[in-house]
Amino acid sequence: MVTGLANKILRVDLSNRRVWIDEQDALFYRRYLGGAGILGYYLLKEMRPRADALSPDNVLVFAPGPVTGTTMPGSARLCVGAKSPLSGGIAKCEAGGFFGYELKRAGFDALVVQGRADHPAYLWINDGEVAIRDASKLWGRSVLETHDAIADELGEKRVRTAAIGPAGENLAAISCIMTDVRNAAARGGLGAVMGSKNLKCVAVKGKTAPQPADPEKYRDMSRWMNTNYMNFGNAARFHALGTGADMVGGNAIGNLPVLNWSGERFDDVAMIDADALKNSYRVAMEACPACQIRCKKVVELENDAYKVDRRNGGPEYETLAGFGSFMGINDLAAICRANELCGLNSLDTLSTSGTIAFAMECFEKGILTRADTGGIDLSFGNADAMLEVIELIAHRRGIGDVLADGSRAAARRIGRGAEEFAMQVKGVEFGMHDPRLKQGLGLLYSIAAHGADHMTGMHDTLFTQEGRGMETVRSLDSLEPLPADDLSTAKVDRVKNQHCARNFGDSLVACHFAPWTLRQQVDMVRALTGWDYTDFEALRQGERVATMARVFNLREGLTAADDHLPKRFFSPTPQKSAAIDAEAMRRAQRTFYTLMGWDPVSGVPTREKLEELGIAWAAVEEVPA
Amino acid sequence: MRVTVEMHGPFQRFNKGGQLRAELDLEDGLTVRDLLMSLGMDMDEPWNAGLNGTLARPSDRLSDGSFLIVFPPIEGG
Repeated sequence: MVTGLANKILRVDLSNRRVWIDEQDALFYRRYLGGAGILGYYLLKEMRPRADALSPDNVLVFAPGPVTGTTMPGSARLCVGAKSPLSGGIAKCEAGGFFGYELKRAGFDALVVQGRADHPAYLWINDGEVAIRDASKLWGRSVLETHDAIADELGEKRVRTAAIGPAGENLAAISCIMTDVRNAAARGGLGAVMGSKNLKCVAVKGKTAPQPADPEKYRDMSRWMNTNYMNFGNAARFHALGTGADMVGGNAIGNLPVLNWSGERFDDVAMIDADALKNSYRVAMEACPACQIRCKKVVELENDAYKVDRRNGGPEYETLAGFGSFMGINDLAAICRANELCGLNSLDTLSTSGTIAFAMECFEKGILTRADTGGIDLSFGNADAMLEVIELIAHRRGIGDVLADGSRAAARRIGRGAEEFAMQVKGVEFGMHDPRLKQGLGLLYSIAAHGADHMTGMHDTLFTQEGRGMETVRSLDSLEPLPADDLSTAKVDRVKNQHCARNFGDSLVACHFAPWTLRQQVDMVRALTGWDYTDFEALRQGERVATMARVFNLREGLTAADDHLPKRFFSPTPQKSAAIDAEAMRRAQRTFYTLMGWDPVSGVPTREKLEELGIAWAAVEEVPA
Repeated sequence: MRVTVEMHGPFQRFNKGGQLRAELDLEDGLTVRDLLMSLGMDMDEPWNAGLNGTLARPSDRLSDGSFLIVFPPIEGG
């Protein structure tokens, strides 16, 4: 038993309606911790190799971390993952809000779901009691309708939910899971995994607060962060505006993606940023449990064409850029509506905007025509078309059926040279940060097991010059500022250590907007569990998470050949001044593999590395050529 | 030389008159660092700057007609 944890992992097999508990020992938790660590473990241990991602054999994991469920600011997150129907490798993402917090308080460190229900079902986890209930009447309903109907049925106004909408039910590989209606466990197609299991929703309620081993120290740390967050990181900016502040600045230096990564600047950026939103449709800010940063926007609007309900959440930066500059759209109301439609239908805003922008470029180039789009003018800048196509994707109608599985699958189906414009890594569309500017991030985009995710490490522009930004990297033995477009061994070393620190954070599961240092996060674990946990263990945990994910991908057939960025980023276009040097990126990738203890050419973790990390049991016997 | 300077968020208060955007008349040869220090900006606070459309280094020299934009670094979102 580990102090501060639930010491129970809930297992559900929907095929035979079996529910049971894994009681793992203390060494399990010391090694795998929670969040991304528990995800990696269960995927490798319990999923049949090479199983189809939409088969009953896929294993869907909802994993809060050791600090989730406590009143520590920035702790209310969980990691969600499975085999991805989008990439064929691991899907791993994190979501905020109340769901993870409640799941821990209901008495579970994680929920692991396998099998497939024979008709639509939802799980009801009520303070340790578990029921599989009929969801037939909910199938086809939006995420919001589903949440409200379940709250009514159970007579529980304060129930927390993780639900899918029509896109998940229709097995769209770019669908997601929505927690508490408006937080997204977004990347990798997890909505389709839930849909393939006939699992409409997980509803949870719990009241048992975790008890830290050193409650006074734990409380002191919470109080310190709630008092001091304004002085560190970007927390003050998030508090004032949420994400999407400083898009004007980002546009000025070439970070803001424009027109499917083909453009350079977006003149109307000030019409779609967080300031514009504050001055128009933003009606409030809301918070995750116990956090004073309060960075989540609440928006509301009504016009002749549509209403946006404040319960469906407000657009984050990725969404403002994705449905904005990325498509040449300056209509902020339409962007808010796009965010709402994605939430209601459970679509990942990044992969959805990425795929629609791909389709728009194909349309502009004549690869797609009105005959293909059902008459829709899918030109860049057409906000009405964008909104129409989101709903077509959710319901797999017309062109929506072509686009519902992401840009890579759509390009293969369309042919005619479309593949050149599918901007993705491992099938996963990019975060809205340009790798030609932030080349260390570009390296992570290419290598990260779950695809082109922007949350895999610190962004290069945070440590290009002296100042407080450098303190975070200095604590990981990386002493000098480095240019954003540098790919030297010093940069790769920094990126690798940041990635491991991030992976440790994703095991806690920590919000990366709360400006905790690594040392403080380690202290949190010590105060919670009473372990003599160390910085060394934390970084090793980060290595373990990355290596488990790598091994999983290898087992499922992904190789180093899948670690590549699209061609567009390697040539300067007439509009974009910067380009990535392909040879420098190749060298950087080999260096990254080496520093991680993986083979420098194949990227396969060595036997010694697996043994060092205590995961030799997961070794892949045969690695595909 | 005349330089246009835009300073966002926590840095706006250091710009001339606390304005978001201001035209400044400066001696020739100033670097980005020289200018920001002369405005009294806290150089320890993480900052990024764009100079004429690209990410600026503190040592980059300004010239007549330059456009400089200063803002907090972005990540996540």
